[in-house]
Amino acid sequence: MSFDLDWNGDKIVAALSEPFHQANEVLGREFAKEITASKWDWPNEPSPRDIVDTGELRRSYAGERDSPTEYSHAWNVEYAMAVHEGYATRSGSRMPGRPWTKQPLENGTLEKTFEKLAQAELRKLQ
Amino acid sequence: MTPAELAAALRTLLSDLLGTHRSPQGTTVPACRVGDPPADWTAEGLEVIVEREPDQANRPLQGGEHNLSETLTVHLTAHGSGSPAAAVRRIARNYPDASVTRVPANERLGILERRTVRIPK
Repeated sequence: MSFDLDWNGDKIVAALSEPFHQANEVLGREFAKEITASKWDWPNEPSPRDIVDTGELRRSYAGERDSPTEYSHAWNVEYAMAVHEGYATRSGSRMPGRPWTKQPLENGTLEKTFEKLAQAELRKLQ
Repeated sequence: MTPAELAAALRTLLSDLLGTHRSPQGTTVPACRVGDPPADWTAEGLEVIVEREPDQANRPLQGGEHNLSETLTVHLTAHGSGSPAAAVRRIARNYPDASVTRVPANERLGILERRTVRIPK
């Protein structure tokens, strides 16, 4: 007895591409909420505070659909990594990190949103 | 492994790479400790700071179970000299599960070169 499995991988990937990108766009909005949330401990008043001074970091965000299966999130200012991870300066200051990507990633925002959207698209293929 | 235990292990592992912390009275100690030094101390060379509190992430599992993972965070900062990259290579050989991020130095903003290493407990 033999079985033939007709697996249309291209059709499945094509169907999942839009849910994947939309889930990333939801993730991008969650990142933005973290930047404006007054939850970050800071050595100077006010504390806790948000991650907005001039607004340059927040405005620098670029979410891009790089390919059907790739999406990138970037904050294109020279000090983005320093703000995210924390930094020390020549003058002796030590500033804590404010990792605005951490909570949305740990919450599984991308996976949960993708699962919900993908299920709807996969049902259409049946 | 506690933060104190990790700091002690790193003090040994990186002994020839470490810079110094200097007190206002002129006392110097190797620049590897848990938590930031007092504000009136100065750092020279490579500084290694282990954060006091581990980072925690909880993942719910089936049947009401959960998986709580803890991570120790280490900041390696070059104060004037010292190579965080060389120290990270050594740390990675001894803690192969470690992940690394980099804050590049920025002359204009006065930001020092730093690596942050996260080591699962």
